[in-house]
Amino acid sequence: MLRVYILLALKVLQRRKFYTFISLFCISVTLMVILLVTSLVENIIHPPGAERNSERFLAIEKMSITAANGRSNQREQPGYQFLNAVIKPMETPELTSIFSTRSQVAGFRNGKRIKSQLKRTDSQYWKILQFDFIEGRPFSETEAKQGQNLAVISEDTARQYFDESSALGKSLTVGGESYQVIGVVENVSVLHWNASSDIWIPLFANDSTAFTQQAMGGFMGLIMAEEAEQIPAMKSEFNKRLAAYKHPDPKRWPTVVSSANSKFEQVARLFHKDMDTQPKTKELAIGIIVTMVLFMLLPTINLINLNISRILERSSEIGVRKSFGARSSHLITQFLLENIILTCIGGVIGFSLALLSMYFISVSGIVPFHSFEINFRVLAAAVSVILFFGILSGVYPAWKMSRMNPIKALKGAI
Amino acid sequence: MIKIESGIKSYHTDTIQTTALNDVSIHIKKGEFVSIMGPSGCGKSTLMNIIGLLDKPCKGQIYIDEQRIESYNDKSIAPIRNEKIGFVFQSFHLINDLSVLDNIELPLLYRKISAKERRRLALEALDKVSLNARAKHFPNQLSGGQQQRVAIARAIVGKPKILLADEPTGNLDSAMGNEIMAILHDLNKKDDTTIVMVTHDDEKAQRTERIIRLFDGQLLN
Repeated sequence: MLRVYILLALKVLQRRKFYTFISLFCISVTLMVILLVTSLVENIIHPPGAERNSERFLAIEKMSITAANGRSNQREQPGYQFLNAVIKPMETPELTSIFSTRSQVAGFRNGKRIKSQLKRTDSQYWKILQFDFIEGRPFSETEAKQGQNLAVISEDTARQYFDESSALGKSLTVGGESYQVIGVVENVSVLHWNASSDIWIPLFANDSTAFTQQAMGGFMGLIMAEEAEQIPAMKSEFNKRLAAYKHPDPKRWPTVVSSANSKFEQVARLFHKDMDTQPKTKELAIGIIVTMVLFMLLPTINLINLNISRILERSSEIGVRKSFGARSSHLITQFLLENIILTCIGGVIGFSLALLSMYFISVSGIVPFHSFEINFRVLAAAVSVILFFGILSGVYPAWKMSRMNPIKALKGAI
Repeated sequence: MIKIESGIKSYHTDTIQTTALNDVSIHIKKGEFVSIMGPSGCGKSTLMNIIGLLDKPCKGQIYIDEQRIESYNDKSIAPIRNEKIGFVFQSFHLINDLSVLDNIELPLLYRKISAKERRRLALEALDKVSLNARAKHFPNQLSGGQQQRVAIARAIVGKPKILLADEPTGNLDSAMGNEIMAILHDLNKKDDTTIVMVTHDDEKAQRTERIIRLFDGQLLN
């Protein structure tokens, strides 16, 4: 029976070329867009590469201070003083790291200006984030504390300054300071903002210590647990230490608010500025799902419409099948199968289009150093979308078809 | 084999009620070849649809093979249609996307039969209508007469006890019509199949064992 159904489905698709084209177009373009978005979201929330341990760490990337009268409020990245006071004494994390946000620096090569992003980091940063070293190593705890002028650079930066030759041991001058290159790492996507940069130097390089007194601005913190299950305990300790923290000017700024966030919470925080409330992760997840469902609904309704008109064209076949003993369930199975075959073909095309688009977006540099990937979760999303299309756009027409009166169906008087 | 007692069928619209069958009782015995005749609109097709369990009477009883059917729901009727009744339509109603053999196999798709057995039975039915050479052709590659022979093969592939033919020669020229009639007579004689045929052709009706004549929804004889 299955062979005949599949054969018939393929024949019907071949015979009605325009219908097939429209249906496949709807399915494949929708799937392509959804796969691109899913891959992007998945890549941010469950990042591969340097941030691959993200399920075990929390990031402290924003803080706000409020004046005693409640009227004045400042909100920006935390300062070194705040992070050093709050996260460094923490007991629940296995590792804690303080690092600067990216700042732009310029260097020159053969008279040509090269712009790069630079981050100052401590040594634990390299243990929390799993950079892939092409050559060399990260700086050690001693090197970081002594503030030696060392640098780890990205593959792209190495190519810009040193072409294809090894960058190790060479001197790199940026922002008026020279650093000795001790490591080259694979490029990091700008979307993985905890790790992303072009040049990483020790926290205290250039004998810089002025920032250590600043409670606010220019820094971020990472705290990493031994196991993902310890995240809530780590959060709880962070909140306790935050409550105990006093701003260096406590009379003026008695209220300090901050939060330690997972990757998903970091994304959710982008959508609301209020530091006090919990990150709206639920709302974000629902928002993503609702948007996707709505995005899929239009082509699905279109497919339902096309399927109904296709059924009407085949009323004689339905009449014959009913006359020869087909039950409603047989007809529903047949029609759903036909629809699922159609959506699977559309799925394969959409999947191929998505792979092609991902390749072109990756090589175009629209999202610097970001390479789109299809992993198991994205694949599961793709299969769900195909089934969503196949079943939803087929169920109603199939049900309608199965209820046709065989006499009317044979006469084509539906 | 087929019994209808006091069958009444009427159709309603918002303004009119049309009685298609008015207190019709018929009894067709096993192995009989019966034709139903009458002018257009007299209720022939309605009677055929009721015998074929494609429609239900408003009142009255139907017995197929001693089984009282009229109260059955669609799900229970489907296997009876599949196993006991075969249909031959005036306009063949073959599925153009399927080969001759796949068309013939269609009723067997709704039985628990292996693909191999289905193929064997379909070839056997094709042999009965002498179209073995056309097994892999598609309906639109065949003449009208050949298409009707395929339709007959489809109707008999499941070895039903009853064959219902609704003007089976209506769309064919006389030579092809005679060929079809010969096949029907053969099935009736050799396989003892009960055949009920609706026809406008008096000559063909005369060649059957009994003629049921209808007029304005009532039996004349």
